[in-house]
Amino acid sequence: MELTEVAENVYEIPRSGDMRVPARVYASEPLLEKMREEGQTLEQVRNVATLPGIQKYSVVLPDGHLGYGFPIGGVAAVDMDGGAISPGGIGFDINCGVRVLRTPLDYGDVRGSEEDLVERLYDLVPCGLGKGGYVRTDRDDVEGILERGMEWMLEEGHATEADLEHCEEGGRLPGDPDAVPENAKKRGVKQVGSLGSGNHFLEVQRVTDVYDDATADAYGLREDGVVVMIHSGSRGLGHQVCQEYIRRFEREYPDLVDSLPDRQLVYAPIGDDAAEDYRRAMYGAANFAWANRQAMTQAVRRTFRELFGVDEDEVELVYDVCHNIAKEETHEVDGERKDLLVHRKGATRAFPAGHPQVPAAYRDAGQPVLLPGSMGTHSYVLAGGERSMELSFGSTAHGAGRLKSRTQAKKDYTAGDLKQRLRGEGVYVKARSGATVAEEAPGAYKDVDEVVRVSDRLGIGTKVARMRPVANIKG
Amino acid sequence: MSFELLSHPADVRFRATGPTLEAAFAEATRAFAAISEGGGDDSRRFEVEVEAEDRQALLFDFLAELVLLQELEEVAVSRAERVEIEERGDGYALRATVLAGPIGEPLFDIKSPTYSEMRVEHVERVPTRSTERASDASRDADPEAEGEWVLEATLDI
Repeated sequence: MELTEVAENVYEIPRSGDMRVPARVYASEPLLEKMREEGQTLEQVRNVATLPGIQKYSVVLPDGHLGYGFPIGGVAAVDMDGGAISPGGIGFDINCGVRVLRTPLDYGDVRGSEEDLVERLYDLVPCGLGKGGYVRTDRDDVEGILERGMEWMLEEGHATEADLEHCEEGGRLPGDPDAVPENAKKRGVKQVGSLGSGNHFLEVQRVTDVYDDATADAYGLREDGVVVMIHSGSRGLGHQVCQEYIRRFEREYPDLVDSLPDRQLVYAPIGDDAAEDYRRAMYGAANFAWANRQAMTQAVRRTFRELFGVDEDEVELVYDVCHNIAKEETHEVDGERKDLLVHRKGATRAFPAGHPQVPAAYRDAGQPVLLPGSMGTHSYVLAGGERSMELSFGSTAHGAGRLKSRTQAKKDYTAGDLKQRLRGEGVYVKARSGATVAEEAPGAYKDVDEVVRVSDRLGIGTKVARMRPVANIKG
Repeated sequence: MSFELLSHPADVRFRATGPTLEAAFAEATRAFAAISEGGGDDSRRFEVEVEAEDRQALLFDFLAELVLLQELEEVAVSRAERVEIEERGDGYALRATVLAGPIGEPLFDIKSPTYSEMRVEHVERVPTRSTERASDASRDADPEAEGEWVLEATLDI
């Protein structure tokens, strides 16, 4: 595919065929090469540019890779007036996201207790399928969560006011339980406070590098400090919402499906009943995801109290970001302020300093951006960069992005060797199965440092701090 | 008649084959059980019915039913028997008995089937010299002996 380098780390696929706008690839040469090797990632960015109402350009970020319909690491902003909403542009795991908690402990305080930490966390936070969730809920509770998200968690005593302030959107979008399919609610009942499988994890980390003292200070991060990162989403509830609405859109717009290069690009015009029902259901699932990450936060607080005598209110939420979502936002397009629906699929919002939607405590620093790496490498905290509004609708990357298939990883690594090697590096891992450990091997992921370097260089998300894993649990 | 797990950049993908579409769907169920890392116990039986507008949607909806079954009934799917697929004027209808057992160790959690590069195709098998004679003999007995159904799907995990 023809790409033009328009600036350092910025490539453009010019408009052709049914594309309504050009496509933009934000990557260094090595990262671009990996996207090319993968085959269809660039084709998918191009396909997204055909979406009705899409503005400026279809974007893929430095960690971009092959997704379903849309690439992972993709951003597509459509006009609220005349645009379309696409479940494939959000993903099956609605509001999959990341949060980071800071603790008053230093690495030296937890050193020697890593084994107890992984065991206790693994005990309290169900991983995989079939063990329920940390917070017990019934159907009415799920309806409450779908409607009110983190506000429900606060009312029920599972969250603090500060937790809400430090979630994107305050941890609540206008969800409507009536728009959420019955089977989705049933899937949700036993999963509030459960991790799931795949690349989801809960990890205790230590801050090893601080690049920007003032911003790290504003976020309450300090060198050698212990933090906890949680990566999970809306569990079966969100997956069912996406699945059932894709099927509904297919049935309601059969001619559209026939005309699409990929069935999973299916969309509905904003304003149609199908589109509005999906949007309300998707917001409900987003609320559920916040409640899920919050429930696991409570398990972490309990663990730190039991093991280290830390008061629960001393384990504070730094921030919680969504990386699979579509939200109404105002952006400037060709000098004009426009209301857009910004689809972010495997992309993190990265609003710069001064933006009114950045929590007051961080307004001068910019929005915290949380980028998980793999279990043997670094994770990062970035700050929304000055150029993010201009280049990427206020977005940056969401992680390292996979390099090797799971089947290949299982051939290349064995769980025993890997665990031993990681332990030698001071990283304790407890996973549901050996296969999970091998599949999530550090070597199976792209170089997170390179992804971050490109984000920083572009000025869409700038480096604040880097963390190394200490204890990791996964499903 | 078999299944295998294929390579995929981020998720899991399988290929299931069988002499009939029904047999291939039964193999897809075994592939699903292998991906979930469950299966083996057949002590419970569930009747599954799915209707869809085309064969791809039928596979998508069938796999979605298996995901739902594991989560709502809290069982590990093992295999399927008595798979029946009927072509109707407006699409296809599938009925199957799915066998499953209690969840021991937690399962690998599958989010959803996807349409990504999905295949539901009947392919002609190119006869090799050694199988040519055998296929001559079996041709009358089984009109589909020369070909097989191939199902391929990616599951989001």
